[in-house]
Amino acid sequence: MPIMSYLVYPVEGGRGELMQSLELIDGCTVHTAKEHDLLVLVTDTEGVREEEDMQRALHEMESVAFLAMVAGYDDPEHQPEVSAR
Amino acid sequence: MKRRAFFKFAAASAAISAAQSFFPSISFNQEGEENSGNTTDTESTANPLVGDGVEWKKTPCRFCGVGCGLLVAVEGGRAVAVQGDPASPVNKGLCCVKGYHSILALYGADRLRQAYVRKEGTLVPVPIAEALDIVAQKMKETIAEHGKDSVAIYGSGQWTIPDGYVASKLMKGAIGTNNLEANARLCMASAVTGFMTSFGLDEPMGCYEDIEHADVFVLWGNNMAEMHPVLFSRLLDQKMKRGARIIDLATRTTRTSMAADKSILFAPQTDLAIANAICYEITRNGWVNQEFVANHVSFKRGKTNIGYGLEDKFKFEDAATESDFEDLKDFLEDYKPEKVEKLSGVTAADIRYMAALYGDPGKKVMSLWCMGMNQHTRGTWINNLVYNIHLLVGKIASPGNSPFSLTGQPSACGTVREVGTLTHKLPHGVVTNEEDRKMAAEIWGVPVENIPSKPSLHTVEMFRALDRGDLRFTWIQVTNPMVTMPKLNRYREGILKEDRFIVVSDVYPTPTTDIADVILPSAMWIEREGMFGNSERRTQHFEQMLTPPGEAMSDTWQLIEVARRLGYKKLFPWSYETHIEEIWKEYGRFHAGAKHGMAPYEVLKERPGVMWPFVEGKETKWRYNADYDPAAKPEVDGSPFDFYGKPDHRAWFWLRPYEPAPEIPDEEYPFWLNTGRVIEHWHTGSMTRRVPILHQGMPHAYVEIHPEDAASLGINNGERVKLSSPRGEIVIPASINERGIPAKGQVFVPFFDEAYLVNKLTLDAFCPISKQPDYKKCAVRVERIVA
Repeated sequence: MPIMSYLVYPVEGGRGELMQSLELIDGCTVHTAKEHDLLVLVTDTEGVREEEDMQRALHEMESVAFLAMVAGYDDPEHQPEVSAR
Repeated sequence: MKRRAFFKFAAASAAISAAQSFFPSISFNQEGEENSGNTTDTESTANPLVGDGVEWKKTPCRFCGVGCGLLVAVEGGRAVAVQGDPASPVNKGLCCVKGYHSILALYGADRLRQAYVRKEGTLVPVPIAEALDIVAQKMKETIAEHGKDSVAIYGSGQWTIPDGYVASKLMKGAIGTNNLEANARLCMASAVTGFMTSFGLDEPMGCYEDIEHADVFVLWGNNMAEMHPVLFSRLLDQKMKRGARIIDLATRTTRTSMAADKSILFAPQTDLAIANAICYEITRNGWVNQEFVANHVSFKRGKTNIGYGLEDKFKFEDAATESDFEDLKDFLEDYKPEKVEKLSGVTAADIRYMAALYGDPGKKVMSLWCMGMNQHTRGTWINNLVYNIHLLVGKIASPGNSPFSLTGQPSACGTVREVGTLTHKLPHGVVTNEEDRKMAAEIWGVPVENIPSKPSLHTVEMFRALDRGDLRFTWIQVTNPMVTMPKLNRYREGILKEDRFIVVSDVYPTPTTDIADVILPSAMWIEREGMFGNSERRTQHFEQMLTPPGEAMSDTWQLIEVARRLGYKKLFPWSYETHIEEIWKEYGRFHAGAKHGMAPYEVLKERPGVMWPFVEGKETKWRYNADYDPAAKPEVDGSPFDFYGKPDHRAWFWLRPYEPAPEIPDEEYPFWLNTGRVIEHWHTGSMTRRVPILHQGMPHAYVEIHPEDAASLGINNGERVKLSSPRGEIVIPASINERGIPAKGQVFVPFFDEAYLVNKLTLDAFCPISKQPDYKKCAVRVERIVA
């Protein structure tokens, strides 16, 4: 259950498009700033695979000028094992 | 409050706090708009540090040299969440993908929990006390049989400050050998010699706050978007808020290039010529700050044709001769933009553009660099040359005017540079200086004769000595040289020879633990107390938050245990409960005074990092400038500057020429090879490849090839290709038009993946002054593999 938060800046004039794009993605909560383009985005996904999809979707959005991660929670006990060797 | 809801509140609140640190007057709508229909009341998250059974504690991030402040949530003895610390002036609440996932690196399934000793060729588990006995016994036997210079410790810029301090005291003070090095030799030694030769003192004169003042950022071979992402986000913030310009001067197109205002590609090694061409233009156009230069700059020439360190036991010592501004003008005649264009591939117009930015008296300029300039056979020179540009226009040591050398590791500065865990260094000064040796002997309580006055083996020479047999015992902590050494095949074969005894302290199995005779399991990061020192002279303390797994033990305490077994208990008398505090207090004596005073332990515990010099309760943000630095005592009326690191109280402007790289592509090996990192993985990936989302996000290494080169070789994206150099070969998947795009005739391979050991190909040539190898340039062949 990864939960993460970001600061998100739209490209110039792209705030509306960015809001629309985020609305199409399950698990996104958006906090809009008063008189400012900056958004706070909180994402909540079910697992690693869904989180990967979420991050890919966010990074591919053309209306995003700047995406900075701030915080997150991910239960270490529920991580799939990976073989690094 | 339910746990999931709590962490969502905390995450939202952390982001809002971070936003408010960038935009103090910003306010957010109270309710989040969630497409699942729920709403979030952010007002109720005013204090995210309060939750059921969850305790948040501060720490610097485990990974890069930016030194972001984190808050880690601990619940039931486990770390469960991370947020950027909004109180940290470094990251102002932000966090990158590695930082956020850092706690997951503590919990990989194959974490080393017990010690191993090789018996009849096989590593078998033993109690850690038995392993420490064997380490001490083997050290004693080796010293008795082969002398004290037959043993060595090789550490890291990921060592905490106490780790490095104890290692230095043990090797230099107690045993009496200068065989102490750290992997930071491979990443920032040229930055140190750059600082020392230009200013006489190490580490930047400015700080990250320069970012908020600068109008222009020139990135010299520095892919900040991936390597220092949080700091880069501060640059982007200034670009968006104030229209600051970012110039990416690099050999490869990267995410940084995409975000920059201008991307300028240059041919490898020609940064030397470009820097001189910028100075030529500044001089020709009358943009020199004559008053600053006359009052604060000395001109010097050094030796030329200085070699590349390719031979064993290579020796070089530079010597300064006097020069002057007229000599500089003659010297720069060789660097007219049109001439440098032919060499570098950078157009004369772009050279003039950069010179105009530096030369404009109305613009504040920051230059930023990291491995591109430091991993360079003329690394010291290119550091000098970028300082030269700033000195020529007087844009230095004041807010926003800042040549800034970034580091790659969390405590390359704090531990390796400040504690001095390099063969020639002491915690204060160098082994060749009698006064510095006397100071160390007095603080350590050892006879001054114990500390040898000559440096011994720098890192490359240390591994050559292992191969030759001059070195018989090496203890490696917190680093993975069987992945990171250049010309790896030689050093891997050398270390495996008979009668070499290798101890490795680490948190996970690696190619280096694979060749060990003894493996010691280490406590990682917040499983012990410690301090890191970041790129902006900021020391950051972290407490022990978690119990290490199994018998894992901090590197500091492992060293103390072995020191005591060697008979040095009097030198290492501290109790386990208070040893970090006592070490800090002892170490602090080396730096007392206005030029390098360190914050007291109690202050470090309270604050999210403190910059040194810490004088009378205040941090020094800009050194050499009396408006900010109590140590500066300017002698020129009306000028605040005093470059007190040099005996003449001036910064030294070095006339350094362009010289070619030692190995240049030819018919047989027609491509330049460049190596580096990716955002997902820290160094050799031994920790980040255990984090599922990072591993899956970037599961293996690759070779980036320019699309036209790939087409001419018949290579498609993802196909396996053979890369070979005179030193080795690897087979690796091709990456075309993906993460980064090298220039034509160049390829790039990240080094995080132990399955594709790119350092089998690299050359062990180094800067003769800094002894730092060049991982950015050697010649390779690229071949399509026919199925």
